[in-house]
Amino acid sequence: MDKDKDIIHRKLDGELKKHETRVFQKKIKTDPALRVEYQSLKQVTETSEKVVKPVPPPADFKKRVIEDLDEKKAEKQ
Amino acid sequence: MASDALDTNVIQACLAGNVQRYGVLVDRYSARIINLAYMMIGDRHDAEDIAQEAFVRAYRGLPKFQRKAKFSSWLYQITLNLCKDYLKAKSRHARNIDDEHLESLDAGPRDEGPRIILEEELSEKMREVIKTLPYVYREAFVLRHLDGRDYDEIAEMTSIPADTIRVRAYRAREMVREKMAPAVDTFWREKAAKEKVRSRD
Repeated sequence: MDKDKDIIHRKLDGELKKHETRVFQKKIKTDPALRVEYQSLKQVTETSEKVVKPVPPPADFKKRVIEDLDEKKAEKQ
Repeated sequence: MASDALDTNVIQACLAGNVQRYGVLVDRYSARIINLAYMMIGDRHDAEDIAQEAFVRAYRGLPKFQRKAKFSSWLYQITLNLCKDYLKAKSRHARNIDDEHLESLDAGPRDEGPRIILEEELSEKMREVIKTLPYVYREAFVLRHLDGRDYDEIAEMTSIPADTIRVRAYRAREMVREKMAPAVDTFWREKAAKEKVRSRD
């Protein structure tokens, strides 16, 4: 993987150290292509985390699991 | 009590034959496990069945459970294996959504003029796109972004080196971006425009 891509993804993961962040910020100021690449990846990944909402478990889910276990236990005996 | 210590406590009660106590672990992890399965297979009803089976298998495997790993990581591993089996069985009957269908999900400019993208619609498109990622990329994307795990945790759950997971997550982001960028861009532009109008009123 090339260095620019690697630094973009590490930035998205919040893994850049202070001095790397400074280098990155300088780079995206002077390199429009890199800036567009970073912004589009950032926008899409952040949006995925925001809009894909978790679904709630069904109300009887725990009951189903415990009943399933009880049934299997009874079958064994 | 710290969550890992509480899990250990519950596991000990279960091993002593207290099935009801297992409900504590089901309560704690059911939402995450159902959502993981849902994102991996794309069918909510079947995801609930997979999650149920994962909890049952985990319970039955408790005597062999290696406590070097966290219970949650082990449960994730069981769930991911069940998802893999489900998708393998399913792929024998049907193919994934093809590129033609995927292209129809893009919300780029259309002849009928600009259209509003609602958050629910965007969410649905996102789910569809994630569902079409090849399995290993989907796994990395879902665990990293939708479940919020770090690379070391994912490595523990999947028994795959963290560096491999990292590369897969990077690639997965790029794949999702390729399919979703126009829709996401339109969504945010519209949202900003609406907020501008609202702030004027």
